[in-house]
Amino acid sequence: MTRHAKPISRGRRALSLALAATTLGLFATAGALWASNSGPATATAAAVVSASQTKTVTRANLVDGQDDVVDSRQVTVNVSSTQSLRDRQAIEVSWSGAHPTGGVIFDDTSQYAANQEYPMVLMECRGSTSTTAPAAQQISPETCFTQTPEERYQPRSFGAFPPYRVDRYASVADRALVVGAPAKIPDTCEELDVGAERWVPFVAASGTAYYGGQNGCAGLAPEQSTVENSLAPPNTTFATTDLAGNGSTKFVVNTADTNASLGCSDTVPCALVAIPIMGISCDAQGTAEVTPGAALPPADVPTDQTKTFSKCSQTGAYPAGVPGTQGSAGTTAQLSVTGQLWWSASNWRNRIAIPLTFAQSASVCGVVSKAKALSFFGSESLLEATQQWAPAFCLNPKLFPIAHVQQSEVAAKNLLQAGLTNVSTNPKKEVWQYTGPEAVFQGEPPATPFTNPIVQAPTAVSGFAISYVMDDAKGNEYTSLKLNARLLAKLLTMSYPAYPDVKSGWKTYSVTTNKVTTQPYAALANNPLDLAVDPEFLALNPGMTNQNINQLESSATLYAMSGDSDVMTALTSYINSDPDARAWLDGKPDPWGMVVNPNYRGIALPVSQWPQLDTYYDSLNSNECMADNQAPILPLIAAPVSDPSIIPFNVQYGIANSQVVCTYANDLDNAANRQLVALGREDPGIRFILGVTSIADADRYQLNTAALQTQRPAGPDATFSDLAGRTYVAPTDDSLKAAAQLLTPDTELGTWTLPYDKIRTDPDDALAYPGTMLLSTDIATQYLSASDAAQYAQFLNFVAGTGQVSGLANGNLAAGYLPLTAANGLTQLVNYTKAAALAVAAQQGHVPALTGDPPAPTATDAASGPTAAGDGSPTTPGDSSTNPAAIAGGPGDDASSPAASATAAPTKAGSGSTAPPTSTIDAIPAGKTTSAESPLLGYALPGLLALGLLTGLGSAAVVGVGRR
Amino acid sequence: MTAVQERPPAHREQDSPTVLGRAAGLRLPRRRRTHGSGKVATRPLRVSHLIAIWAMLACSVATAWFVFFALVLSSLQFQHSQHNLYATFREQLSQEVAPLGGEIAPDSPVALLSIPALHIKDSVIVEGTASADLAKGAGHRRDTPLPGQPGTSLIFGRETLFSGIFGHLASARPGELISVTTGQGIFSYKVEQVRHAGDHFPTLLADGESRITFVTSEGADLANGWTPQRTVYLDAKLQGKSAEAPPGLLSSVPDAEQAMNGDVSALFPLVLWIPLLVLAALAAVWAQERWGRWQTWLVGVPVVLAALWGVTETGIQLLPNLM
Repeated sequence: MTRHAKPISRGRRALSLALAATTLGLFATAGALWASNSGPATATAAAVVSASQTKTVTRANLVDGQDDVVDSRQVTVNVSSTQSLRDRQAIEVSWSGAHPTGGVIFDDTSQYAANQEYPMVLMECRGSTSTTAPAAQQISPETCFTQTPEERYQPRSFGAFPPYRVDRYASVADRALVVGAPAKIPDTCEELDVGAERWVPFVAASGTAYYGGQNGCAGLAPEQSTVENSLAPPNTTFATTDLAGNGSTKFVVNTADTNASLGCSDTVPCALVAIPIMGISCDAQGTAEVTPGAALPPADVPTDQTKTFSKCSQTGAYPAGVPGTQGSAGTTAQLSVTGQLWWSASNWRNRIAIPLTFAQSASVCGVVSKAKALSFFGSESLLEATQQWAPAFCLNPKLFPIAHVQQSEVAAKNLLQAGLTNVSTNPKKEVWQYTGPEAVFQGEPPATPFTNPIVQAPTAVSGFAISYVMDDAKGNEYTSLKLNARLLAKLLTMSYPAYPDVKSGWKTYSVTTNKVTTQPYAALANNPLDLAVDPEFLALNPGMTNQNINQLESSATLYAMSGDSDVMTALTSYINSDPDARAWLDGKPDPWGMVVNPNYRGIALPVSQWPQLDTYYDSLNSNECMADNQAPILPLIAAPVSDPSIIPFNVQYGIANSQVVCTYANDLDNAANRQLVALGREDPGIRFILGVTSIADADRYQLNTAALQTQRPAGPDATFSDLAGRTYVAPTDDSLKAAAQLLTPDTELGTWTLPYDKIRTDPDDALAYPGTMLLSTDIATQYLSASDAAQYAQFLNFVAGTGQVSGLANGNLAAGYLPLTAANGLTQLVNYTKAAALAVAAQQGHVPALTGDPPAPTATDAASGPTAAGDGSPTTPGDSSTNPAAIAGGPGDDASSPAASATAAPTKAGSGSTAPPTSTIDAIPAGKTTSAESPLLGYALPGLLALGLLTGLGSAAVVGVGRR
Repeated sequence: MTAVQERPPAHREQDSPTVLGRAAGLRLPRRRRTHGSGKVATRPLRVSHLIAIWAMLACSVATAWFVFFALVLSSLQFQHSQHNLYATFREQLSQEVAPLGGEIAPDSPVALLSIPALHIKDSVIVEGTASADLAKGAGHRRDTPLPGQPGTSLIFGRETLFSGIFGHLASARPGELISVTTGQGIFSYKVEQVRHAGDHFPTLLADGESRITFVTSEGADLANGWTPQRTVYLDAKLQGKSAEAPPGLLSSVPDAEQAMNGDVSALFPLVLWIPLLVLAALAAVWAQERWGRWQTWLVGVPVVLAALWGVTETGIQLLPNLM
C-alpha cells in the first residue's frame, strides 16, 4: 500500500492545489472586473474642479556657512478650473501671501514684464508634477513655454558672476561660466568673450531643443518670436502682486491645437507653474554643497566676493507698487529679484505646480473616423456646444461623426429651403431631394416661413452677449458694464465722431443737390466724441469717469459681424423693442442732446445684416491709405468681420479691429505698397473694446459681459444720473432661465419667440436676459434619405436627452447654454424636440404642432410634390406615436420605442375634438415591425444540455478505459 | 502488481484510492490482496483518470442542474416572488402610495395585470426589464409611461423560464379584454392585434390615448431546446380616459433592459458565487473525512444547495430577458 500511498496523496494534493488555484483565480478575476467596471452608458457630467496649493517660500543667503533668512512667506495659489480644459480657455488664477511687485508693468504678458521686481510668474509647462516620475517626464525649466528668447537667456554682458551664478541651490554644473549652450553656437550669435552666459533651451514635445539665444539666433520654436506677436499673445504671465500680497489674473491655457511645440493634450500631462519670485539666495563664498561631497571647483568661486554678494543680495530698486519703465530710461530693476531669473534654482524650487488635465479635443474626430459625417450648417452660436458633443458621436462605434459647418444662419436657411429639387430624369416621375444642406442651426425663425415641411427643433438656449474689455481711469479692469438699447444703437449707427477733426468737420460739412445746400451733420456736431464721454454711459457706469481718452476708435463702435446673422436679428430686435431707442433712431434727440447719424435715421429694424451707411470722408484725418480711394472713416472704424469667431478672440486679447493704420512696404509714396490694417492690441491699462459674441464664447474665454437694461421707471424720457428704478441683467444661468420660461409659441413662424415687451414692462420678468436666443435645428421631414433621416433623428433624441447634461466631458452641454430640462421649466421644448425626432425619422412630411392644437388635417402622400405638402399647416393631430424606425441608438433595440409624451405641456388643448373627415385614413407610421434576436445566448439551454450529456458520457467512457 | 505488502500501521482509510470513488458514489473495484500468486482481475483507476471522471461528472451534474433549475425550479422562485410582490403592492394600493410614474426604483411593483383569455390573473408587473426583473414578474420598460397613462407603454414578459407567463401571448385574439390596475385606477384595454416581424405598426395614437404593447419571445419548445426564435408583440388600446402622467420619465434605458438581451453585469456576482460553491463543495469533502458521513450530509447539503441556487439564479440572468 505504501507504494500507492504516495502517488495517491500526491494526486490529491495536486487536485486540491488546482482547485485552490482556480478559486483564487476566480476571486482575482472578480476583483479585476469589479475594479474595471465601466458602468452603464449614461453620460456623467464632469464638474468644474478647482485646485489650491500652499507653500512656504524663502530666500536665505549662505553666509560663512550659516543660513541668513532674508524673507520667508507662505504663498497660496488658487486655480478656478484644472480639469477637462479646452484650448484657449481662460482660467482664473489668484494668490495670496506673495511679495509685492515693484516696477509694475501693466501688460503682464509682454516681454518687458519679466523685468518687474518680485512678480508672480505663471507659465504652462509640460510634464508631470510628481517627484517620483522619471526625470525626463517631470516639469523643468526646459519644458516651460516662453514666447521670447530673452525670457530664458542671459547674455554675457553682466560680468563674470551675475546673481544666477552664485545661486546657492544651483548644482555644480549650473554654476559654470557658460551653461546650457548648444554644442555649436551659430555664427549669427554675437558673442562677447568674457562674462557668464546662461542658456535655458526650450524642449518641444517632439524632443527638439530650441536654444534661442540673443534675438533667437540659435533657433526658435514656431510659436516663439523675437518680438511680441500681437496677433497671438503668449500665455506666459509675469503678474503683479499688490501691496497686500494678493493678486489675480486670467491665464489662457493652450493645447497642442494652438501650441504644438508645448504639446499639451488629453494624453500629455501639463501643469500650471506659479513661481513667486523671492530673489536669488546667494552663496558668494562658493561653500554651498547641493550634492554632499561635491564641492565647487575653484574657477566657479567668485573672486570679488563682497561685490558679488552685494549685487546678488539686492532687494529691489523700486518700492512696491510703483510702475516701472520700459527701456533704458528711469530706474533699472535689480536683476537678482526680477522675473528674468525664474529658471534659477532659488526661484524654481519655490514653484507651485498645479497639474492640468485637458478634455479630448474635437479634432480627434478627423483622425478617428473615416465615416461620412452628418453635416449641420449654420449658427456660430452653437459651435461651442457641437464641439463638445462631436467627440461623443465620432468615438462611439454605434454612432456616426457629426460635422458643424459654420455659416451665416440666414444663408443656410435659404439654402435649405431652396435646396429641394426634382432630380428625376424621367419627366413622368418626380424624385425630390435636398441638394444643399439638410439640417441647419438657427437662432431666429426664418424671415419668410418655410414652405417645405421643415421642423424647427429646439436644441439649446443661449444668446448673444456684449463682451468687453475695459480699463477704468486708474488702469484697473472694469467689470460691471451696464448698457441700454439706446447706447447700443448709438454705437452701431456710427453716431460718435471718434475724432475731434471729424466732429469739427461735421459742423461745416455741406452737401448741394439740385441747388439745395444742406448740412446733414450739423446737428451731430454736439455729439459726444465717443462712448467713454457720453453722459448716458457715465450715468450708468460711474466707475468709468475720467477714463483717459486713449482709444478713440474702439470706444466709438461696437465690433460686430459683417454678414447676415441671426445674432444681429436678435440684437436689433432688442434695440427695436425699446421705445426710447426707437424714438432716438427716428430722430428724437436723447435727453442730453445727442442725435442719430442722418444716414441711419428711421432705419427699419430688425435687420439680419447691419448696413454700413455713412459716407463722410474725413479729409483732415485721413492718411495716405484712406486718401487713395476716399474711404469713409466711420465704416473703417466700425470694421465688421466676416467670421464671427474673430470677435471673441479680439476681445480676449484686447485687439482693436478698426482699420485705420496705414502700413507700407518700403515706399510710402507708392500706392501699391500701402494698405490699411487693424489698430492691433491695446495696452492693458487703457483698453476699451466692445464686441458682439455668443454667450458660450464669452464663457469659454472668460470675457466680461455687459448687463443689458430691461426696465426703467415709467414716464417720459429724461436725463438721469443714477440707476434708481432701473434693472440691468447680465447673461447668467438664472437670467437665461427666466427668459427661456417666457418663450411663447408662434404657430405661424413655427417656433418659440422671446416677448421683448414683456421683459420691458412686466415687473415679474425684470430679471430675464433680453439677449436670450432659442437655438434650433431645422431639419426636413420629407425627402431625406432613410439613413440620414434616422441619424438626424438620433441626433435630436440625443439633444433632447443626454445632450442637455451640463458639464465639461465630451457629450456634455458646454458652459453658456441653459439645459433644456424640466427643472428649468422647458419640458414643452424638450417634448417638441422628441416629437420632431419622430417626425424626422418617419419622413412623412409631418411637422409637429407646437401646442398640440388640432390643425387642418391633410393626409400627405409621399408621392406628391413639395408644393402639395405645403398646403395648409403640415401638422398631425397629436404626437404620441409609436416610433417606426429604430431610434435611440444601439442594436437590439426593439421596434416599439418609447413614445414622446406630450402630457406635461400645460397648453395641451382638448385635441381630437375636431373629427377628421371620414375619407382620411388613420395615419400609420411607415416602416415595419422588426424582431429582436439573441443568436448566441438563445442557444444556452440546448447547449448546456448537450454539454451535460457529453461530459456524462465522457466520464463513463473514462471509467471504462480506466478499468481495462 | 501482485506482491504482498505489509499494511503500514498508520494506514488510514483516506489513503485508499477508492475514497474519492466512494465519495462520488461510484463503486470502484477494490484492490484484492492475495497471498500467493492470484491475479488481480481489475486495476485501480489512475489518479489522472479519477480527476477526469470527477471533472466531467461535476460538469454533467452542474449542467443538468442548471437546465432543471431553468425549466422547473425557476417557476417556484417566480411564484414566491409574485406572492411577496402582491402583498407589498396590495398594501401600497390600500394606502395610496403606489408609484404613479416618473422615476421608479427597479424591481418595485407597479401594476397588476389580468388577461383572462391567457389565464393570467392579478400578475404583478415590476419596474424594469432586465433579466433579473423579469424573473420576478412581467416588467415595465422604464422609459415608457405606465399603463393607463397617455402614450405607449411597453410590458415585457418571459416565454419559457420562470413560469413563462407570456408563453401563449401569440394566441390572443383581437377584442379580448385586458385589465391593468395601477395606483391611478383600474384600466381596461382591448387587444388590437398580434404583431410579428414584418407586420405594420399600429395606428398613431391621438393626444391622450393610451396603448400597451406586450413583448415576449416565441418559438421556443422542446424540439429546438427551448431556444427563443424571435420577438412577438401584442398591442392593446385603452378603452376610456387615460390618467395624467407625472414628469421625470427616463429618456433611455441601458442595454441590459432592451429586448432579448442578457444582463452582462450578472458576471460580477457570478464570479463570487462560483468560488463560494467550490469552497462549499471542498468543505463538504473535507468534512466527510474529519466529521463523519451523516453529519456532513446534514449540514453540507443545504449549504451546497444554497450556493448552487445562487450560482444558477445569477447565471440565468446572462440569458436573454424574454426567454
